[in-house]
Amino acid sequence: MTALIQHAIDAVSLGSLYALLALGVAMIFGIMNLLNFAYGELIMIGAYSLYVSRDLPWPVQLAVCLIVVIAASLAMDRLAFRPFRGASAPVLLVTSFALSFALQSLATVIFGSRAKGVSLPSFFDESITIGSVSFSSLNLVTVVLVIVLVGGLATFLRQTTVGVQMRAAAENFTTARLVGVKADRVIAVAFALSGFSAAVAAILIVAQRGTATPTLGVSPVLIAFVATIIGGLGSLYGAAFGGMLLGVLTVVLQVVLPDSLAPYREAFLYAGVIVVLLARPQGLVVVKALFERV
Amino acid sequence: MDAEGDPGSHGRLTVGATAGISTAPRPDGPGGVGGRLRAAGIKVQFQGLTAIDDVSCDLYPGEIVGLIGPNGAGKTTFVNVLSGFQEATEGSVAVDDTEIGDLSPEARAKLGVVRTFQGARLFTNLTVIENAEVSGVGIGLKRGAARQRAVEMLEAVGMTELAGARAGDITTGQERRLQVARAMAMEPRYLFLDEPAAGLNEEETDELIEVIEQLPRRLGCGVLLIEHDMRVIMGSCDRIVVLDQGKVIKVGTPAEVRSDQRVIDAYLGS
Amino acid sequence: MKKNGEKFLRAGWPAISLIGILVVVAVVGANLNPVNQRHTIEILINVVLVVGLYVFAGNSGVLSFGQMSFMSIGAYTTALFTIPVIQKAFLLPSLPGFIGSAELAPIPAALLAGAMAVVFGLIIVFPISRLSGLAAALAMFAVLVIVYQVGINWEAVTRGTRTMLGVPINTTIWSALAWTIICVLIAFAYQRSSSGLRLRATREDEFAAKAAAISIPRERAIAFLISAFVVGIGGYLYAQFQGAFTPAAFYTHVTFLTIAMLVVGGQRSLAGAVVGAVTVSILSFLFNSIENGVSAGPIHFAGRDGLSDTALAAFILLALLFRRDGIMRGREFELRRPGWMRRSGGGAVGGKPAVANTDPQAKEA
Repeated sequence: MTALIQHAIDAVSLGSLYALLALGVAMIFGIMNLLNFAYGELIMIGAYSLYVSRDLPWPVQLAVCLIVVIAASLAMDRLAFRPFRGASAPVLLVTSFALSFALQSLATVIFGSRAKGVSLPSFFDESITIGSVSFSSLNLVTVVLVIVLVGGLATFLRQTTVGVQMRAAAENFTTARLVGVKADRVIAVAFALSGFSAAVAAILIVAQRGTATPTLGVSPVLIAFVATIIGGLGSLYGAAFGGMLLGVLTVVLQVVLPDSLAPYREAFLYAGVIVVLLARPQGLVVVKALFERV
Repeated sequence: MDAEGDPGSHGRLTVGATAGISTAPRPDGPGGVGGRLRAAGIKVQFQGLTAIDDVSCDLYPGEIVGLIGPNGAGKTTFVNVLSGFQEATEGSVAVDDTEIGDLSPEARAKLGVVRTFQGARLFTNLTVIENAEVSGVGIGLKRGAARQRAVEMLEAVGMTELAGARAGDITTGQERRLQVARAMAMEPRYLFLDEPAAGLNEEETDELIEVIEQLPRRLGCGVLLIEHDMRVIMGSCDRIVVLDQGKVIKVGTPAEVRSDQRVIDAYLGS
Repeated sequence: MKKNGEKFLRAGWPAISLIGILVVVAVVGANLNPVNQRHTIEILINVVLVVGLYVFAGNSGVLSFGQMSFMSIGAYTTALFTIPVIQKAFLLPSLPGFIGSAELAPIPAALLAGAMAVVFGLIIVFPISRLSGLAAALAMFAVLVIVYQVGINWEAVTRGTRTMLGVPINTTIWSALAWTIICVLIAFAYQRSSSGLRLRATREDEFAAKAAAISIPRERAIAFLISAFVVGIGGYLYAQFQGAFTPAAFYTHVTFLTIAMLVVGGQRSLAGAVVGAVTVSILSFLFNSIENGVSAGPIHFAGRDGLSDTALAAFILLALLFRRDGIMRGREFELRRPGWMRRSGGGAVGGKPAVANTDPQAKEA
């Protein structure tokens, strides 16, 4: 029983992190059809900003991370993606990949390829014990933070003008433009939000790993892609759901696979992804108007 | 009905010889022998909305049938059902009494049930002649035979000179003609043309209509023509089916349709 | 006779011109220093990989993030069947007997590598060819991850994360050139075939292709398997070039680099695949040599880790910025058509007759 609760906490915590990652990617995809590889590098930039500000008081350190990553995300849109508005999906994808590659290489130039240790406030490491169940406070922080963020995002999308415009743009960008939604502004807001989620993800990931490396963002962004696509492209809730599902599945596989197969855990996970794609090529949460009419 | 557009008293009388005008070999083509496409009681619902309701229509090789009606009457939906791009909620589609309602669009096309689209849908990054060749290789011809057929069809629509141009670079008028050439290269028995003259000026329309009017004799196929230009419809069609709000409100000769009060009210205006 | 010869030359020119480029690359490379001779082989291997990727992704318009899993299959097949038996007994003691005792010559090994890639392709092609767009790209990425994970964990066959070594080194500039030419010819023959034309039509418009009686999954599957074969050959060349490798050699880095090469060259033409692979490879070697430090007279420019990759990425970004459709813009190299063919019949058709993706024989058929 105890073990089960422990696993459940792990699963929900990992799922929350993945949902956060997926939201950051889906936000941009819904509006401009761009699967942004360089989202991973925003996380990487966040990690290094935590490293650079390691001697400052922790609230300042976290604030620096948020500000730097959001600024980087906005700069990314302005400098790299704006010239490519309207380009085809493969071109956008390769652009974002090249950008991601460039930022990784640049990080190698500046910080070297070896991992840099980053210390975060110690309360992330403490473990909390309730009855016979004990878990790290990081797990708790992750879950709470993601719930708050998703709630905040939902409120933002529903209550504010920009939020409503973003939803309209995600639904049908061309029409939204016709009714006066300012494309560049909406996209900039989306990049800011995406940057925000990357910054939070960076803090959580660094708190867990304790290091920053140039390739830190690669596997998170791939997880985000998978979650976004199986969740249903263009749907934020679908993406969050996809992320949660992926996190839970990862932990379930960890637990149920016999030792001899345990190393193949990721292989099983991705086999599951293929099955989901085959069964629901449009994703688990289908957005209407996605199907082209004859 | 002028001499050009009249393929004989009725299409079902068309026999082998009429198809012989086509110079290309037609190994698995219709050979101009009778046959019939029958759509019976077609109903289509999208999320509770009824797009078309109980629409029936026969098409015989050798005739041109007009399909008219106001925007949103369900004309394209009906063609989508016939060609397999839209599943019917109710009703059946049969060729020569063989049900084809469960077949995919590509399987129907292989049987000679061929369509064009509104807005041409060319293969824009292929050349003009490759566009026409796709039809030939689509129905299983070897590349050489498909090329020969494509050359003939481009000739038929007067586009030989443009063979090497990129399809994305040609004018709207040329696009429409190429689309018809592409459909012709499919060896159709039943051909559905969805607003083939949309966006053309009068002169271009006349040129295209001339090609279309020759189709039944040239290929021995039946043509279902969706068109808004009444001059075209009245001049070229043997029969006309009028749709309004998803229902057939009149079937008849051009003269009958022109004088029908319901058709005038719903579509033609005073 | 003369006319036939001319006709052949004209029809085959897109392939002949590319072979010409590859021969020039090989001949020039063979006369450079040993380091650049190695680079020359790498360029040719990259061409094979990118051409293989093009056969599927270029003709179908469906991007694949997983085509390099066939490279992995090809390379490991080569290793298992060509490492000398004595060494194999030592390196891979638990191999099944018939593999343990096999020791293939280069050409059979290459063909087997391609064939094994096709066999693996057959297992995954039916589900994959039913997916389109990003779902297909991602499903193939999942395949890549699975192949990689199996590679690093199946120690009995792949040595896991330990380096697979002892593969005989048989890839020379000339053997690489020969295989590259063969692969270019395969790709060219395929895209000219009726199946290739059908697939290119589905890339342009899926609905119109269906209306032309084309089965999209079927045509995609054919291209997918040919692509698997070519990329498998690329894996063979790589294995017999490096002699030693780990599963990481066939993972995300090579995947993204080959995709970038294809897109930079222009993914809609074979010429784009070849030109993209050659250009990006040469630039990457150039940037690499700068990274290792350059001395210009008294000024010494010290290199630094990551600089060459930064430069390469910047080049890819700039190339895309200025040529979204790639260097070749979807065109093949064509012989200039005679004047009477070039007359344009409609106002909208513009010039650029020297390179157009057209078959000049249109009228003679």
